Amino acid sequence: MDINMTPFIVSFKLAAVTTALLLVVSFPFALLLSFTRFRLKPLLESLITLPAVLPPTVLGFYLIIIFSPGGIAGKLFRNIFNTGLLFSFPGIVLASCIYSFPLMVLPLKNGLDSIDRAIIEASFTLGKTKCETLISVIIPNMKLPIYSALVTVFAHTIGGFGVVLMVGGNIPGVTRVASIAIYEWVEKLDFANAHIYSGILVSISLVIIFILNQVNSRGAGRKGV
Amino acid sequence: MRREKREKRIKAWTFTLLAAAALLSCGRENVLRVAVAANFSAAAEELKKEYEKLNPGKKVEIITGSSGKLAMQIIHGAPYDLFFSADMKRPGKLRERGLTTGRPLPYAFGRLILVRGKKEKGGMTLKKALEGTGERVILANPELAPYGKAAMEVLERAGLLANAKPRLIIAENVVQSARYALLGKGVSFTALSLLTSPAFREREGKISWIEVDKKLYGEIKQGVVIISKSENREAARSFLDFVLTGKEAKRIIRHYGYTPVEKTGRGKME
Repeated sequence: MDINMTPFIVSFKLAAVTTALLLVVSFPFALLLSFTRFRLKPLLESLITLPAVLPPTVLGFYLIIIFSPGGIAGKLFRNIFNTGLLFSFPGIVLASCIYSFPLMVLPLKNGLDSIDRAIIEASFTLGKTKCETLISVIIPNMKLPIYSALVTVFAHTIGGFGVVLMVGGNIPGVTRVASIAIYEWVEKLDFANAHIYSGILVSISLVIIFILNQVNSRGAGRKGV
Repeated sequence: MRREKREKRIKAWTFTLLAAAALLSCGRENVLRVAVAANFSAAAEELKKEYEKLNPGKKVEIITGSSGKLAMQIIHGAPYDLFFSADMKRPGKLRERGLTTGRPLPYAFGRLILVRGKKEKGGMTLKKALEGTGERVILANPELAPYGKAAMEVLERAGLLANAKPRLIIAENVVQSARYALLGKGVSFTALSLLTSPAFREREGKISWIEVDKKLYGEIKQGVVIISKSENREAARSFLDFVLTGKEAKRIIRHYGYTPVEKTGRGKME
């Protein structure tokens, strides 16, 4: 039996890139939601939660339209990078970012909410700028929510299926992720291979999440949280 | 101190992961990308192997999915060179949109079977299997799947529809339909081609099945088109030629439970 590891590599690459990118993109949104008050804020919060509500097939259907060469995102991407978005690796990264967006923003926002405002005030009083306060006061005080957001998004992306299948097009070595490869074995009524591939996916995911949790709990334990 | 160490470790891990990922993502050029309807995928893999053996240096990649999803992807510019559909309708739609180099050509005819997950005493007949047993009758969605539509026609023409109607279960596709039967959920209409799949081979002798009389349903004609956006048209034509006219190809198509096309409409692809 020869096992093709490529779908797993694509999956973990997708999860790593999506998680990293999403952390950077989501942070400003979380800050906005936590530290400012404006009239349309409830609307913005609801909009951010939306991708979690939409069925993957519905989300995938609209993303195809937006990502296609004539769509807004597809056109923009082609103008900047001179290549198409649909059926490409950047395409599934963007799609994964969109549908995991609430899973990153909301825990970060809750983390920011839980920070004692007094220490932020103290930092300002001591003459620190907003940026310095963010890096040396806020972020160190919300490591746990950051970690849990990272792990959730990573896991969610590994488990992603419908959206990636529709937007990515199941191209071997490019957009064929592990979940799609397993689905294919099932569709071929080859349950032995489906079991093997599922076993590999679950084991690798377990190891990665275990490591992340270890790192996290050691960090938290030292601080006595 | 310890925090720095930990951060370094995390950085090292991230870097290793990303580097490994980057190394393995190098693209491959000049591969013929063939989109194949799920029901034909096992046959297509075999055809690919045979073709690559006959044409050293040429590489074929099989991408499988439901005909509807594949067609949708082609409409939005998926980089496929050839599309083997499970029907003539979807490639016809692509043709209407000017996305193909020619009209769809049939490459195989599907054969419908009735299957039950248990061994049956005294053999299986259509009437006996469908009537009066009180069992569920499973078929693929007639709105989407050609085999499902054919199964509906069989029920109608055999005069069994009224009897079976309250017991119908609509599966997503022929594969799901077959799975329900294997799980012992009733009798199922599915494709003969699935009997070559591992799940069925494992249960050889433990299930019962019969082929449905071809007079009871309209042809399940599967059509193929070359995608006009293809940059590998020569290779696409060569592979298609092999599938439609190759002697070995016909043997493979027959072996996987289809009727190959006898006379081909070659020369009309342009």
